[in-house]
Amino acid sequence: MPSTEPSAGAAPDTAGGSLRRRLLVGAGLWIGLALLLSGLLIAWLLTRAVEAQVYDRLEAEIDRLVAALQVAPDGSLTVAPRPAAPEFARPYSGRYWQVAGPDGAALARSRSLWDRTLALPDDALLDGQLHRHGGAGPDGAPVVVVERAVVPAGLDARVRVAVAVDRTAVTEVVRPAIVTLAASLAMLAAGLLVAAWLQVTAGLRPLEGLRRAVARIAEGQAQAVGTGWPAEVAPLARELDAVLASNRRMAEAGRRQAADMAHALKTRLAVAANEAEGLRSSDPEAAARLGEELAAARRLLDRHLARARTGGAAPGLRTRVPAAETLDKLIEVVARLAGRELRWSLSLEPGAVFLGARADLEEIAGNLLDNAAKWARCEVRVALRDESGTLVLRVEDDGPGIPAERRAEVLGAGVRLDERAPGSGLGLTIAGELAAAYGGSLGLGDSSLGGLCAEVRLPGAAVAREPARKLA
Amino acid sequence: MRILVVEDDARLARQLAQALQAAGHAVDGAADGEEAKFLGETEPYDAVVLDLGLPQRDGLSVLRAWRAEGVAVPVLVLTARDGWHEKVEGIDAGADDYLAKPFRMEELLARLRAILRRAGGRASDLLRFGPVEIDLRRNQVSREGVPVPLTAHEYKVLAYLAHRAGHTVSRSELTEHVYAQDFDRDSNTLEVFVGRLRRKLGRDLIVTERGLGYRLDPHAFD
Repeated sequence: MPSTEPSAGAAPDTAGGSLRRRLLVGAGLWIGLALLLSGLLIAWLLTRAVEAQVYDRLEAEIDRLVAALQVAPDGSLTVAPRPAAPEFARPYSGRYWQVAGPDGAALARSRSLWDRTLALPDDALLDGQLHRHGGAGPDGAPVVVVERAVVPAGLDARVRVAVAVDRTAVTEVVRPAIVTLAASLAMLAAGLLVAAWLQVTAGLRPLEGLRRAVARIAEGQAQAVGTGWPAEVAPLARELDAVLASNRRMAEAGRRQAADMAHALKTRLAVAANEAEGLRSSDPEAAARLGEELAAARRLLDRHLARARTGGAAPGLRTRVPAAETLDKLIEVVARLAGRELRWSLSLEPGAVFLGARADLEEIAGNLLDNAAKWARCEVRVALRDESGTLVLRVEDDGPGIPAERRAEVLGAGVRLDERAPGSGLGLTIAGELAAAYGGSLGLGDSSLGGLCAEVRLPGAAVAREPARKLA
Repeated sequence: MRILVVEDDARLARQLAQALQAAGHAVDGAADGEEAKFLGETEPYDAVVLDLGLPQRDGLSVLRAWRAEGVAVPVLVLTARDGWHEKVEGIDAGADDYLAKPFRMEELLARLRAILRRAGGRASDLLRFGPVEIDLRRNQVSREGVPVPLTAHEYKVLAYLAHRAGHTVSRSELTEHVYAQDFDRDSNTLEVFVGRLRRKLGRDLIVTERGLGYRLDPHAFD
């Protein structure tokens, strides 16, 4: 069963985009739009307020100007006294007044207009009515104009009295306020974005927690993501745990069925093999043929059973197995079952961890140790160490070894090279297949002891960094 | 030696019993865990061949119960559970040896001899008492190199006394270790067997301890 974990170098699959980015972009858009509209509204209200003040001033000027209108006996119109503000006397000063006839021709005007006329739009004013206009001053700069039509006493024609001021009178007051306003709003926007970022981060934290909980399961440190999640994540956690539990149950049921089947079949095989032995005296040829068939059946059974047992290799079913302790115990058992005295030289790195099912490590190591114990003349050497995260188990013996050209055969097809030692002869094949199920490998070589050197490498098994300690 | 065979498959149990009897042992059988536990706790077996997948009570739990009760009989586990994890479990539970099914009968007999040898503190299956040689592997006895034909019961009596060489063995102990449970036991016949053994192997090899029992004297010919 190959590992389904992505390799370390693979790009993470984020085709679905980022939730954080999605939430932050959304928050940014809303904050920006809301603050922009607020800013525009405030600026508009501010401008209106300042304009109202300016108009009030202009209307006061108009009232004074209308009061100063005088008609001479010859019908000519004068303004006396003339408005006193010095800006009215300075040409193009930005403050102007003008009294115009119904045709728009100036009858009297401020000195600040010099020889120009305030262009008034065509307008149909009733007596005393006030009108506000925009327009252009004598120098072409935009001005705010207020005009009123009056019929002065002694004159039977209506005149248009107008007072104007440069628009800068409004903008010079409003602009600094708007700049301050914009700066404040920008700061507010920044503050809100930081708050949104904090909120999104805090809001997404349970997802990160869930990811870590799942990672702990994959590393074999936990069996479930557990409870205590926020209401929005809890259903996902529950579903996840349910799927994991169901997986474990199915794997366990599969293993149990395989074990039950093995028990039944192997007992029948044992009976048949003994019957075949009984035939040996009367019909040795038939007994031998039967024996061969039964041995082949046993090899098939052993091999498929070993495959059925490799459930622990699946991520999510892995646990952290202390490898040195497991091997220590196993070597004791193998040495005992070997039925003869052998010298065992051990160098097991303490703290080395196997990531998977303990039974699988025992099966891999047990088969290598058993093979070595069967063929060794007097010594077996076992080394377990961590090579930057790869668990390396090396088992060497001083037996006859396996010729280089036959090693692939042993690993590939599970052939028995020698009938002298009991067993199905599948140990190395099974160890190799199990190691492969964990994404590892089994290599066979020559040992400096003179016999076989079997080395199994199991990647992905994290190892606690502790100095190697020589045992035995 | 008296051996308990715990195996729920009737045919395999029969084959085991036949092979063990042929090897000179008295054999009792148990077909389920409860019966096995009871027999192991009440009968003085010299060794047990124990299957693990048993009805009523699992073999491992039977083994653990025996060890907890102080039953120290050597146990050879014979099972289809041949994973190393299970072997570790079996040895942990107190098994002396572990053999996976299917198996070769010679291997089972050899392993059984080995655990009996260890239990008796012997280094070899070939026992020598002066001119008398007992080959436990071939169930053969010779005197001064000449084979001595023995009946099955004579051999059983001699093998058990040799297993306990130097120790006095009471008649009841000898009876319990030489006969299977369902055998019609008559302790008077033991005297007959001992008498015949003395005739065939020499008077002094087996000493009668009056009122206590028999003792095989390892130094009888010194």
